[in-house]
Amino acid sequence: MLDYTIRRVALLVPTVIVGSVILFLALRLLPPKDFVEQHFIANSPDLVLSDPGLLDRQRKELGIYGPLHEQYFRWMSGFITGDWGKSLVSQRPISEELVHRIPVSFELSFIGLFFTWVISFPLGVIAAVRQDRPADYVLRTSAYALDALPSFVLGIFLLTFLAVNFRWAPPLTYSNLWDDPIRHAGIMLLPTLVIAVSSSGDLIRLTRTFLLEVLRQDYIRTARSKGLPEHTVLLRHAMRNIALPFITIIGFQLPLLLTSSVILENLFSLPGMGRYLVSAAASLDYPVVMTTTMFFGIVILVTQLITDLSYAWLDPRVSYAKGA
Amino acid sequence: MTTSIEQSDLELWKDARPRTLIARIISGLITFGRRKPLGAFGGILLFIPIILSTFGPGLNLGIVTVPRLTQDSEDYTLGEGVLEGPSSSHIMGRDTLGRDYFARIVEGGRLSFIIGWGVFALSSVISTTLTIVSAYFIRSLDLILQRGIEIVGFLPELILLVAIFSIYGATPITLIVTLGLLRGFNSSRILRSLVIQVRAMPYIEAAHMIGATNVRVIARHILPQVGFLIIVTATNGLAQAVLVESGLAIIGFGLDPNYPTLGNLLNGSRQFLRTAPYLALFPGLVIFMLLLGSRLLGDALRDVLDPRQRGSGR
Repeated sequence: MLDYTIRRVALLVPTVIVGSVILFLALRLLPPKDFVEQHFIANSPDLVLSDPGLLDRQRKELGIYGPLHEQYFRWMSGFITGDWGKSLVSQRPISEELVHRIPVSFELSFIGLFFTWVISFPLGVIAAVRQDRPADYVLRTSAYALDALPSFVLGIFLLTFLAVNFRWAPPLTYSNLWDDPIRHAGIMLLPTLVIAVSSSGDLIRLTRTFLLEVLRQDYIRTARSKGLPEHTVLLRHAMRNIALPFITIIGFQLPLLLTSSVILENLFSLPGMGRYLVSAAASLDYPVVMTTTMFFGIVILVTQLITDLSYAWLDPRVSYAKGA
Repeated sequence: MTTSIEQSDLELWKDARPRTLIARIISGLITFGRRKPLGAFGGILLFIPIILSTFGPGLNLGIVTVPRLTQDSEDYTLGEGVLEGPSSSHIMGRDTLGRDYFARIVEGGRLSFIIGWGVFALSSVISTTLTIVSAYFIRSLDLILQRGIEIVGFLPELILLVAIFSIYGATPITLIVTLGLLRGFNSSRILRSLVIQVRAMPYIEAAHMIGATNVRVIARHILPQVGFLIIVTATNGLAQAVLVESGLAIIGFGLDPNYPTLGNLLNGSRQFLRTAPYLALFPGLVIFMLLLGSRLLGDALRDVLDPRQRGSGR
């Protein structure tokens, strides 16, 4: 068990390195090779013209001089030690700006996930328990339809509805959880609900399928034949056995949510990681693009690792099979 | 005597099955429709926009004429009928410049479908080749390839697209290549397990023993098993392309803002949600229709074509 953990964590390092090399090469080798020039010419050409040493100074600051592998090592060592460079646009350290935005994205994803489960799990259980009855059909059909509706379309429909009937639009400024909890909750409520509803389609069906599978098992029959009331059978015996696949599902959902939150952050004007990346990409702020993409990748990798590890922790069969 | 000849002819015709290709296709479709009505419904949902977009502008369907996309100022008067709601002459209303919205939606589908087909083609080629090479031929290559594919699989699609768009610009080609590569690598994982399963079957070994060349074995035995998965992915791929493209448009990285892709239309409607809600409703509905249709069709096709299901297929 322990050595499985160690192996998996150890495997993380080469993966990150390879990934970072690919990312670095992708963003530096593709034209235009000199993004400093590109950025400044695109955004402030007059500065470039008036100050001939500007580009060189910027390049020195960003560490983009010398052969490519030197640049990579410089960038990578900076990344590891926490020196993430400066944004070309705001001239402020990237770590400063990112630190404010990471919690927003995480909060959106986590709470969205939480609401998804709160909605989907009971409904899935109901659908499984009342299999092939009207409730089941209704739930399955609506879940299927919901699954086909992307989150941002749902978001836009919701915003339309609110705008037309209530003359309401999402606030433009953001409130922290600590500064103004009520307003913050109000801001986060809608996007998390949108996430919850649009993700619930898939989850309801999955819950139903898994529960049905578990209910077919022999140990459920035993429990029933022992004379246990149905709700005990459900709660004490069935539920525990669906925990495992569900952890895997959560493990899949979380990274998916984090990356797709980009769109929702834009729709509801939330200052999160995704929006940071997008606006940086739009203004050709390449240091930010590289750092944020790298960060996204690492977050996803770590999430996958945690999922795998918790899976192994809960199911002893897994670690034996893989550890050998 | 005439009567008996006619009768025997009649009996011959009773057993006749459709022989010509077209007849077979049509009868196949009818059977599919009967067995999987939901799938057929999905197919209709999916193909109506495709057909409208392909043959669209100018087509006269009797009930409604699909209007031509009006780009040139001579076709419409600037500012006339700005933001009119749906009416009898313009079924989906008019946009901020008075252009017919229905025409724009129909036109917008084209680019999305081209992208969808392009991604499908590229990813199919990549995944099939990768799978066959790695799972069928070389063992060592297989291991390395699998590691590589795992790493690539971690990369989030949307983020990568944004990053790459910032360098290359947001052109359809960039989108097709990036998505095709990513999807190709990812699909090869699923295909690979299938291929390995099939490869272990005794009849493959038997085929080799008779002296069948590798090419023949692949073509006649492995590809058909894998083929259905590719078809199912195709139906999904189209709608997925629309999804990705519209998602990108919303964050501002849409393709060519002047072109009325569904995503761009959706994005442009955000300013007018209160005054002209139909601007957002129609593209959203079309996207929903496409996704729902492709899902229904894909599920039905998978049920029908999966060779592992007993009593299905043709």
